[in-house]
Amino acid sequence: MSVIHCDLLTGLASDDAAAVLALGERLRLSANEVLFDIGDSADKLYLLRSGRIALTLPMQIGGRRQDAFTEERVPGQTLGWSALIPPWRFTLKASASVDSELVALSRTALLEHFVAHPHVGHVVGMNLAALIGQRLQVVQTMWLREMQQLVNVHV
Amino acid sequence: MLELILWLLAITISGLALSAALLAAVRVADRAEAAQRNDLPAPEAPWRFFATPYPVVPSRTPDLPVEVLLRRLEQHVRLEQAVAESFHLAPTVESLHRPTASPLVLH
Repeated sequence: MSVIHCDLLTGLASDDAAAVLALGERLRLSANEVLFDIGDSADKLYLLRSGRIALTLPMQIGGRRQDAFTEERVPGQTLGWSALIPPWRFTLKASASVDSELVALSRTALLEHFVAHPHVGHVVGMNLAALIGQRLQVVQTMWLREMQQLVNVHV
Repeated sequence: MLELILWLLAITISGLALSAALLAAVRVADRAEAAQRNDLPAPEAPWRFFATPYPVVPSRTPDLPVEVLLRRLEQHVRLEQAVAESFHLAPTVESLHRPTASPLVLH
């Protein structure tokens, strides 16, 4: 995976980014294979190298539980940041839309690395905050648009 | 004779007074009862937790297969997400409410 195009490692020197990637292990998923499910213990963070990962939430449709599309991750993007945020439980289901390859980084290895290399921990932490903040603002906007739609229908 | 007339008059006046008093008492009781009724809250329809507080708009596609509905939901989310991300990059009131071609949005 190109270090430059990984959103979590943006701003790190190449050596530092390579050192973070070296902490992880490669993982291959076949299409439709589940990476994690809602409520699972989140002890690993994932960087997508290739393929696509769909994030879904369960909905009740026709009396049955159905996985409704929420987001999709593409190469260079991070998923599973619940691994770094208490209570360390995944809040979505992640499954491969197509054959995909990822780097799995354990929380323990990452945190130990950050203690040994605080400047890396600072940059990664800021990148993570930016990712979460961007997602929050996008979801707020989507929520407002849904409320506007509700008002348009009922008022 | 005069005594008899006075006695009858006294009985009549007493009867009228008693009747008036009884009638007044009944009226006061009626007013009190009416006031008490007015103090009570108006009977309401039983409250239901899951009841929709607004008229339910019937679905335009009630018999949509689940697979089709899920595809439409995905299309809707992708379109809304794209608009939300563009709003995030250049926030304006117009970009916030920019319409999409989502099949789940009523225009």
